[in-house]
Amino acid sequence: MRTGLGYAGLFSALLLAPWLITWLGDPFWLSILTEIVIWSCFAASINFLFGYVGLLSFGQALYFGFGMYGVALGITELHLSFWPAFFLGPLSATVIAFLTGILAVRLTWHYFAIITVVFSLIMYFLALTFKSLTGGDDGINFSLPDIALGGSYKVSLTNATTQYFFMLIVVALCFWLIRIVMASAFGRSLIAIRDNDVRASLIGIHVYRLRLAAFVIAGFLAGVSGTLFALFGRYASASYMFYHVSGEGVVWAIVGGIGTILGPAIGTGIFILIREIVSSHWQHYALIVGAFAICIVIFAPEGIVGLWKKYVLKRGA
Amino acid sequence: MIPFLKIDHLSKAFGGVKAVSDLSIALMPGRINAIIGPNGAGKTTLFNLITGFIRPDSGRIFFEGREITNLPIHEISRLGIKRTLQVKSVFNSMTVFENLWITLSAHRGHLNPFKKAANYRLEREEVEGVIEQLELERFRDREAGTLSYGDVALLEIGMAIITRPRMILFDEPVCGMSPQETERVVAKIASLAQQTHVVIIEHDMDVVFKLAEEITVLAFGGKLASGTPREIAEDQSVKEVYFGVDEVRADE
Repeated sequence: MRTGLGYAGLFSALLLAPWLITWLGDPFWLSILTEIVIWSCFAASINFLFGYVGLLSFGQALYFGFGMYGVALGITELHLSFWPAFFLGPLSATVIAFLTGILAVRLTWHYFAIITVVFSLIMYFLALTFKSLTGGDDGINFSLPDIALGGSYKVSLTNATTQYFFMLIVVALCFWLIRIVMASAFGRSLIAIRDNDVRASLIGIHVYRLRLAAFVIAGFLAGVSGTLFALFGRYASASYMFYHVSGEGVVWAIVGGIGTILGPAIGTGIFILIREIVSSHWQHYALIVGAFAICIVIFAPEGIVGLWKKYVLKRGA
Repeated sequence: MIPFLKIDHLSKAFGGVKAVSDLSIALMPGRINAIIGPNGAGKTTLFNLITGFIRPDSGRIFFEGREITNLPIHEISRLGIKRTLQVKSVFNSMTVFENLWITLSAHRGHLNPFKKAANYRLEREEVEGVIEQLELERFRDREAGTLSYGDVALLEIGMAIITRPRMILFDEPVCGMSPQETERVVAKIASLAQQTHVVIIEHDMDVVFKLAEEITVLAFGGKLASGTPREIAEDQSVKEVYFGVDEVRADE
């Protein structure tokens, strides 16, 4: 019940954020907040695999990239209107996640981590090779179609506040979906596999099939965030498929708290804020990011949400 | 009588070592079967073959008349063949309740990702029943990783019995236990024989002779002897290989 209230509180705060930011007077922070919301979904994708089924992927950027190109090419090449293009992003990421997952989830631990990197490198270089289509590292730009909301009513993401709410609703739906799924027998089976895959198969769980399902769901989540990010930046680029993007997401998820619903979002928020605040004053801001991540991993392996649970919730109870 | 478990000319080699070689066994229902033998005799390999952990090089395995050779682990499990492991193995981050609940749900194939786990009322009642039966009420909401070794072993037995299996394979069920814990587990296993086929591997001869009504002795991957505890205790070849009185002759 209390966690339910927590979610509601956080969501209301995020709903009120645009007015708060306007009141504080610097609209720049609304676009930062939008970016945090979008990348949260990416960290959630990494967390879904690592936190819930025990597979550490360094290749989620691949599906992020497919989300980006799905929506971008849908608009530029296929001349789709907003909604079909919007769904094409996550769809293409999900399909690719299924195809690569068939091979990847046969492996676990570092073998799995390596094959995910390999897949994302292959696709990255393929994207560079087909530069006429993908634009390579420079990427491709597109202009936003309006969003039809039934009848003749239309909105456009060119309005920063509309854009923020659109991203927020989509990402909130994804987090809600994660929460539902993890409270089900399916979700509990994933945790069982993470804990002890031998015992999981001994009680009748089809470990391979469930790992594949988790991999596809994670690919979908990364695809959603890639789609949103493409809409946010009005462009798609192969550089976002590169594995350092995946690595960043891994750090966000771990620092926020792996295996928790909100941890990835919190980790993402903290790191993007550090980047925005510190990078304008000091170009080596990555040093701070690294030091912070190392401290968390050593002193609070369950991340910030773990710390919160340990010191705030326990004391209150 | 028809055997519930029939092993037919089963062989498995690891590299050059024949862990199980041309082994044929038929286990009869209605009694606790024990499989004994010196270290390296192929006992755990046999369990691994039956439960699908590894695949035999040749030979076949039949359970209740149905061939189960080469079936994957989870399918064998869903046929009602459950197993405890030598090193007790449960889901450490889950509570006792959740361990039992997920075991029952997995067995029944409940995987609906949109139905809340808490809404399976029938399963909840069955889980509470098993917790009571094992006297684990105190630990109901404790994470399994924080339990004592003996309680983990009981939980593991609970996870085997909650699905009402057709057969349970116990791999050294009392290994590493205190005398009190051993007594609890032995009593539990003895009571199970009424409901299901029970096969145990055990090194503790007191336990074997207390529980088993039929003993199969393995040595060097093959069957050496089988019979009632009394027959086995008097069998000369078993004495030689298993109890090690033959060391002098082996040196020759």
